[in-house]
Amino acid sequence: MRGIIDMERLKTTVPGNGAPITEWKRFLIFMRTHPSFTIGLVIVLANLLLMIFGPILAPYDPFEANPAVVRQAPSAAHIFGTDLNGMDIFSRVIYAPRIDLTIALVGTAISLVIGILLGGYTGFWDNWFSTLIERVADLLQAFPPFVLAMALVAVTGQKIQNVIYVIAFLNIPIYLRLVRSNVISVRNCTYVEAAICVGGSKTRILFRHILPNVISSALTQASINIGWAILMTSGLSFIGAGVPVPTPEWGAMIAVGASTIIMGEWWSSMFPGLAIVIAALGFALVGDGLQVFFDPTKRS
Amino acid sequence: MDMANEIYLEIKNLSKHFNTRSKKQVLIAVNDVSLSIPKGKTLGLIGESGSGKSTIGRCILRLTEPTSGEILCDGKNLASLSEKQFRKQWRPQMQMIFQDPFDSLNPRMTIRSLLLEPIRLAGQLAGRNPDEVIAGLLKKVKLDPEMASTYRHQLTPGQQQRVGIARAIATSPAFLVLDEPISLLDMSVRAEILKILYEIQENEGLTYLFISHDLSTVQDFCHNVAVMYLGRIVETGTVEQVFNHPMHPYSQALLQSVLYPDPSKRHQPSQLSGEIPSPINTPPGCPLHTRCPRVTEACGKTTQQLVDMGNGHMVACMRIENVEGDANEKV
Amino acid sequence: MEKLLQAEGLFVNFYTTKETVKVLTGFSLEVECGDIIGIVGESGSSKSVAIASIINLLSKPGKIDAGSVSFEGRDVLKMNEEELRQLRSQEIGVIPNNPKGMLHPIVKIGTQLMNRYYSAHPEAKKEEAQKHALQALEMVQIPDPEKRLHVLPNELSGGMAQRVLIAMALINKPKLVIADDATTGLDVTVQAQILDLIESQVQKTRSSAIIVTHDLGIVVQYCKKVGILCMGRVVEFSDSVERLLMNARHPYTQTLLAATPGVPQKYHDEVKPAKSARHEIPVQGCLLQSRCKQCKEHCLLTMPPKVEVAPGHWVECHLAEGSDGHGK
Repeated sequence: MRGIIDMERLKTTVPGNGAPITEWKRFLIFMRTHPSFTIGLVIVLANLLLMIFGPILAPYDPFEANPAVVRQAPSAAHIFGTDLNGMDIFSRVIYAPRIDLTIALVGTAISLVIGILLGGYTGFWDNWFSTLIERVADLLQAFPPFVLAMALVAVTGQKIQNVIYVIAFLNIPIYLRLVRSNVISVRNCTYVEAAICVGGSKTRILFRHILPNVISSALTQASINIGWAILMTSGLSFIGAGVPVPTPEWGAMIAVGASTIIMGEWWSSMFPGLAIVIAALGFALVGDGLQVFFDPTKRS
Repeated sequence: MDMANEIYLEIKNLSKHFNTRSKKQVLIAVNDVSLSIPKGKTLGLIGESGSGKSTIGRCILRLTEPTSGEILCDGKNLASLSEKQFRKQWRPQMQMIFQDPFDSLNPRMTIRSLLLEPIRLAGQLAGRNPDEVIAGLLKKVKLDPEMASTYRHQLTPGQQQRVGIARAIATSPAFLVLDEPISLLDMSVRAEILKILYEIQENEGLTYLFISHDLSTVQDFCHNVAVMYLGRIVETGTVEQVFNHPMHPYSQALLQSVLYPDPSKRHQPSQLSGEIPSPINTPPGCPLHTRCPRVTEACGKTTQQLVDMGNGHMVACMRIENVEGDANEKV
Repeated sequence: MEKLLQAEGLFVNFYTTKETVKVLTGFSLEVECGDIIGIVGESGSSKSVAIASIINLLSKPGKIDAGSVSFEGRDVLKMNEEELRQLRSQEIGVIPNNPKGMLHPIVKIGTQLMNRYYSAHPEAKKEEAQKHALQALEMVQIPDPEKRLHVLPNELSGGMAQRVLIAMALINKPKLVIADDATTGLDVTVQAQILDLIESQVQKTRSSAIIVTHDLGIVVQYCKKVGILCMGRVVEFSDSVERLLMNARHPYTQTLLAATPGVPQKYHDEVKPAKSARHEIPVQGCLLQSRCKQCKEHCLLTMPPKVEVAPGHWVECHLAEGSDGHGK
């Protein structure tokens, strides 16, 4: 026989577990008790700051190639060294969040919004259109995402906004699935039935009653996915199927440095590489932490 | 005897079938039910699992679409209206109080929003001060007006159910379906809720359909009662008629199983053999015939209709006996 | 006669990151051989916690902070894992509610019964365990028991599943059977059958039973002794259920009886229902001080004493002091 006490039931009936303390305070306690989350948060905030202030902080123009200083190892003048084209790596590394993060954030935001809307629709309405959307989403997910991304960027042209759209498009099924399954479980709740009973139309019920109770998991999934979006952007740019050439972008920078690594010029690829790892890790830690923070079953 | 024997709602030959997902069999939840709900009074609908009592309530309010039959109110057949027509014209008039007080409230809405929603949707907010309206509703269910800004998890189950009641009466309906409103509440809280419901009925002349499996509560709270088994009505009448002189073998068995907190009323072991069969592919004939102690061959062939045994006490059985044991065979 | 079970002064607290919740506030209970005791309590938590404490199965964040439990003279709270396993499999059988949730969803019924048998008879052979599993199903009157051994829990109805839980509790012929709200959610006709079953088995094997429930009807029809659980302790106890019905002395009991339809004696509301979801356990004085209409000054200062108002019938209330206390 499993445990005698049903702990979940206990949490709602044991006196005192009803009203929570303010979410803000709980967040602060959470930050203290989950150091990995806090580290991730610091990384994310640092990247966001760079996204805004990068150009100001960069000692050199990230787009300017100075042939006089090509392939210099890290020194006082160039902290991260210079690359094949004589561009200052440090300036480019701290400018890149503006590109990488913008693509990742905007792309994720677009797929989030569309995914939520479609997920809400397919979860709540059971008609042929709903089934069609689901099948298309399944089809989309059947392709290896990276290959499909390459193809789409090649077809639409190598521009930053196209990279955004492609990343957005490929991620829609993830949120669609997530929101759809959440909607399916919530739509049987009594309060949804009550909302129908008091006269709500289906659309109103979806937006007022169902989606608010379902979005948090999509949001935390999104924060985890931003890390993936960064990796995908970098990956595409590395093979030349992402952002156009002189753009300071981590993946592209690694590509530039790849040819000179054999000669021992490690700095050209290493610093952007590290930057990618740290940024992606930071977002992943934040996403994981948020998931635990919002999940009531994991609370003690 | 009361003069106003007006009927508020009449159900005629209502059926509800569900298709099972896997085997293409049909689950008959409500099987050709006809029932009259008297105005201004409480009709109790009692039965065990698979009886269909909750489904009837949901069909009336179109929370589940009936498969066939008519639901007549004020001369109109509610079952034939489109979803939009029903929503606009009838929902403000007919509301429901749910079994699970906690789950019936949206976790992210304040009590205030929950109470205003039906009023807004019915267009009844024009020219009224929302705070006054809320305060008035909360007063009717004996809740502090300050509770308007709380959320469901800050309330006790009894308070949650009172909010459910307040929400149900917000649009001044004429009819309430009470679907096991107290079965999940503690004993001491139940009495409070029933008292509030009773007062509201007295003051505003509401008609109630009280769905429950708790027979002692039904005996106390309802005026009339209908007994259901496997989707059919087997006996109806006033509470006095059915509880004191049950005639259908199922009603008798049901009432004998009640555990009264009274040492002088010992319960008796059930005369019914076996368990309630599944409502999937129900056998033909009388729904009880697989378990009835008085079963004959004819019972499995024809379905019995409700017959008036005097004073409006209706029973659907061919083998009526008094509890003492004299058999009255009906042709 | 030595007491079968003696729980005394159990204080159980739940330690969460936000606060410490007091669940049991001095719970005491005595069970003698052959007793069938009803414990009446509202809202699931402290009843289930009391049962879990008796068999020392309380998990975090709950902790038994004070009190003792002894079974046949042995200290339960000091037992090691092996002794506890023996206690819970052989000597005490618990019948929980929520049958579908308490049975392993992907293990056949027969196997689950056999596992329960093995936990008390580790050396037993497979045939022996199978025989006992079959007998257990027959004992709880499940039709077609041989077939049902190979069935999964989700193929059973609620009533059937509950019978299986009873079979699991009784297969090792325990000395003490504890039924925790064992018939909540079951149909009325099924409920009577299940309780008749538990009663007949307990009588046949001459074991004892604690029936924990919120339904007074069950207590009156099946139990000889009754205790009233309120805010984590037993506030009234009687050796005779009838006598408690006719002469309940604790304001909380009176309120409970007043609210229950069908009670043959008239009572009035003496205790207001809890105001919020948090029961505030006061630091001193009677636990019900903020809710009881009869609260007097000394109720706020000292814990009410145990007053014997009739042979075998005691109550914890200041108002019962003196031979003619208040109450009906």
